Amino acid sequence: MRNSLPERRQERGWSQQRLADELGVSRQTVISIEKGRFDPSLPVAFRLAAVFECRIEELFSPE
Amino acid sequence: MTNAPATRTTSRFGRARFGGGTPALVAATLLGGAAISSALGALYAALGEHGTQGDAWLRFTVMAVVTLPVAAALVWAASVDRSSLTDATERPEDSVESAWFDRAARGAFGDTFMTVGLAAAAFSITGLQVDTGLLLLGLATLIGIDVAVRYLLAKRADA
Repeated sequence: MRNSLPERRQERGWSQQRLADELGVSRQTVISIEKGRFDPSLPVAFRLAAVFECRIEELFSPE
Repeated sequence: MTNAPATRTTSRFGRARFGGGTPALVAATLLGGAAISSALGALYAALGEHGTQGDAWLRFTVMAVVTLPVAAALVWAASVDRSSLTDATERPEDSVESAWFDRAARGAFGDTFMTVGLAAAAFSITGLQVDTGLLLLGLATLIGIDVAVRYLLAKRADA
């Protein structure tokens, strides 16, 4: 799944660790999601949308 | 949402979930571990072949010493407040490491099922007799190694 996490995170000047702390997951989880190698669970997807104040569809799109 | 995440006091060893600090957790870990390992040592000594009193003490001591680290670790795991641990994630079940472990455990289950089935068939056909304790120890070791290798492969594939 493609995603715009790296761009949105960098817009805020956040590190991967900072985003991981916001989500309550490990830094490796953020790395894997950003690389498109790990599809987050629905609760994480909703938390990402809440953190970036957007809709889930704006964050993720099918390949 | 630009504020920094709420910080909480954490430590490497953590705090006790029953309300105490790190010293209370250390005490509970050591005392609980010693109690469990002593009980196992006493059971092992009592179930052993009747020899001299010195043999019974030796059996007790060896079993108690060998099981103390594992028993203490189990008491610590049951007593620690996860949120007080340094670097512990708030939602480990949503982290990628959890997905790696799930994949490794699923794969190891299939491997174990196949191994046990093939071994049972082989033993039935050949009439080979193997010590039960040794067999179970081998199986437990195999499962542990299988899960560890599969976890590392999953990590390498996703990281």
